[in-house]
Amino acid sequence: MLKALLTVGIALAAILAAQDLSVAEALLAKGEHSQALAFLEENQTGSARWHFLASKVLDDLDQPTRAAEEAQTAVELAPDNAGYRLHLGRIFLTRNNPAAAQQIYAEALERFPSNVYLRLGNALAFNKLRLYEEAQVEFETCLGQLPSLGLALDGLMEAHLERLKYDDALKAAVEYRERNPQDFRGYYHSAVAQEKLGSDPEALERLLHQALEFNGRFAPAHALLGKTLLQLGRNQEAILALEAAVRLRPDYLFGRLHLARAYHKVGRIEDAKRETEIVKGLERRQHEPLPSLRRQRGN
Amino acid sequence: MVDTMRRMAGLLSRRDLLRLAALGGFVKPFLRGAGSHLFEEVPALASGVTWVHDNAMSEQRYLPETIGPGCAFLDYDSDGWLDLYLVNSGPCDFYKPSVAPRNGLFKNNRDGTFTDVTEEASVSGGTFGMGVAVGDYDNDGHPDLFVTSYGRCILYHNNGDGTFTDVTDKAGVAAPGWTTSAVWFDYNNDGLLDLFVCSFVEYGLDKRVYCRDNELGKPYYCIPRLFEPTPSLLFRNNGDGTFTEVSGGTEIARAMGKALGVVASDVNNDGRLDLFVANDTVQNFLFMNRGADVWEEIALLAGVGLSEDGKARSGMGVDAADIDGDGWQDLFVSNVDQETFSLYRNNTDESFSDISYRHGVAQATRLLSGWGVSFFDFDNNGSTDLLLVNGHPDDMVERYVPNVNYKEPMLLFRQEGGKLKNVTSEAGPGFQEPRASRGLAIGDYDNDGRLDVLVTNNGGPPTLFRNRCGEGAHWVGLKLQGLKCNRDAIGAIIRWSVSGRVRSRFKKGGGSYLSSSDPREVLGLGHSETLDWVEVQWPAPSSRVERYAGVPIDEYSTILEGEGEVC
Repeated sequence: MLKALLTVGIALAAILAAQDLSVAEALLAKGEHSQALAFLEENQTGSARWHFLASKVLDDLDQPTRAAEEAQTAVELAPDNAGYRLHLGRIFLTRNNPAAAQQIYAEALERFPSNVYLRLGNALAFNKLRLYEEAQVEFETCLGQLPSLGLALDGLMEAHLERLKYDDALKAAVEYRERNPQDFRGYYHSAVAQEKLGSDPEALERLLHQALEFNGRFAPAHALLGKTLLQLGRNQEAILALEAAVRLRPDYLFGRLHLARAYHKVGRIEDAKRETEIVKGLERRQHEPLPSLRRQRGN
Repeated sequence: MVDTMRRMAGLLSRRDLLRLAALGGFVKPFLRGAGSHLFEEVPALASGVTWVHDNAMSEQRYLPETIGPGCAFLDYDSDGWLDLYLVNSGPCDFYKPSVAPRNGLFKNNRDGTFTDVTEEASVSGGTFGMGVAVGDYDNDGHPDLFVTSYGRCILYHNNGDGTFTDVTDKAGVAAPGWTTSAVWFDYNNDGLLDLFVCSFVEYGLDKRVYCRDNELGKPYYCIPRLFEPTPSLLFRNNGDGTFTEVSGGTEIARAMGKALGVVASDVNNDGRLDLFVANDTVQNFLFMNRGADVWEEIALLAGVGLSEDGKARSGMGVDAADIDGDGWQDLFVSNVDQETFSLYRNNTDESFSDISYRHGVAQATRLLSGWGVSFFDFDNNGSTDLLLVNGHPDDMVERYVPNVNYKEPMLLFRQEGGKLKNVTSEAGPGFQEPRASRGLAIGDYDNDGRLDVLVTNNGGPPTLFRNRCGEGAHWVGLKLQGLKCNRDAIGAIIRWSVSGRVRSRFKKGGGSYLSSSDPREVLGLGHSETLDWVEVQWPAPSSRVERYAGVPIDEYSTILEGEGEVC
């Protein structure tokens, strides 16, 4: 009897803890990170899930060292949870340590070889390490598994473009477009590759309009359309497109740069100068040193 | 044959040996691929250029160690034969050698050999030298030398008797700091050569940033991004042997850069020389000369400041030429690995388009780091070709960056059908041998009408290449001599007609990296044996356009301003 009561008690405690953690998840989902952290600190269960949630909260609060420690603990407590490993790798990937991320993803893929998101993480880490050949293989595998995985196409395009393999980039974009005709990415990336290959601007314009039909809030498509229209001598239309791009993404250097040129071309010299100064500021910011999160294991 | 040569070396004097070698008895066996390649490397034993660059490489990896040296082809004794000048490092705050390396001046013996005349000429340097700009700033007919340095620059005035005098202080051009490339050009069209000097970064033992966080844990050459930028300098020639620094208050002074390369050319055809400046890790500058000492920096708007994607790259060498024959100056800049080099077509409206991919230049340079660069017509067919010399600045790079090497081969492109074609594999083994190359000068040192190549290598001997191609192609060699304009006629436009086809060449100032090339112009005629006419549009103040008839082919002629038939 006592043993049965004890078992029931443990089960109830587990349910309550799970309920408690769902409160933390809800707070996290609402972006109330401080409250979520306070809640977790008051309700320490020591479970893998608790450490995982703590890591997510800490990551969002820009405390990457602690976030990585908690994620590492979660992985150690639940080594068969792919999601925890994915999260751990992402912390390093976004904190300027692609080597650590790649190591985490490679280890995870040994355990979960068919997990497309772990492979995507691995591929993204390869890109950051400038190991584009390795990245290409991984991105292509991802797209073979999940043809609608847009992030894989984005990464694959980077791997091709960085190596100036514009024909391969175009082929990948066209294939994606055929499989995902409702996704703006296929049209946009086709336009990017065609522009690099020196295709006629009219063709680019058509592709970019199609991209914007499916995602009108995608600043790079607006900006490339503006650049293309400028080439076609349709300066006022170009300015509208470029202004749309920088409205959507005020820190978008490529958009600002071409907007400055467009203003200059139509004689709006003061506007051009203003944009040029913004470009210079953004360019400088690109090179501000990024702190790199070091990975420490076993402590 | 090599053994025979070595045995004989013990019996003959070195000078005798060199003369014998040049007469043909010994040269050919030492030449690489003679007869079958576009260029043949001339060994030091054959040329007598035994000078070696000492880069002063230290355990601490001080940045100035890795970016030199430059070189020049010049005719210092006005005998019609090109001599060589080679820049070396020297004492500075971080380098205190017991025996200081010295620059080298090598006189052309007119037989394929050179003699070291550095001491007699008094041009040995004594600073941590970087580059050299050659120009006749006092219009006396004798080329003068401006040597840039980490530390004080040196202006050597050519006395016209085989010697030079250090006139730096009197001239007021010491330009302390860290200067790199420089260019002589007449920015204000008064007939006197002015001087633009590229300034690199704030550097010194007291300012040094230590870089050792690579995978090896050893000190390595810091990326220049870590150092503060500096403004470059513009010196106006006062006409009395002195100069005044006049960049203050202009956009040249306001433009904080990390300048390594400069070329003076007229990119908008307004008759005033503009400046294209390559900067390392910050945007390049295109200073448009608006006249009346007004400069407008327009590189971002012109499309030559950043990469196509809006990133500052590591600009090092630059050049300008009208590569497509449309009458407008196109531009080139070399960068480091992963960035690709850029060939910019002039859109004729003060803007440029990067066409490096279309010409295969981007693909060929993706993993290379470029320094010296030169547009020149190596096969005398009338079209402009391109030569690039390369080498990564970090001697440890290959241990932590995949597919990138410290020593890299040169690249030679020939223009065929309006496109550049990579012909490095035809150029000869010397072009494919990896080196830590930096400076590049072009000049016809043997006066055969075929432009030869001089490359300086960091921490090693220079490489001299003799041009062996263009067999059967005719040419016209011109030495322009200004009378009202600057004597070097920098800024002149030469037009020539061959079988009714008119071509043109702009006489730019500077270009390449830390180096100066042959001041003469060789016009390629291809297989045509007749030249219809040559026309020269002299730079201001005269701006005269004169046509010259009866200019002989396959030899050099001096053309004087004012002696042609005014068009």
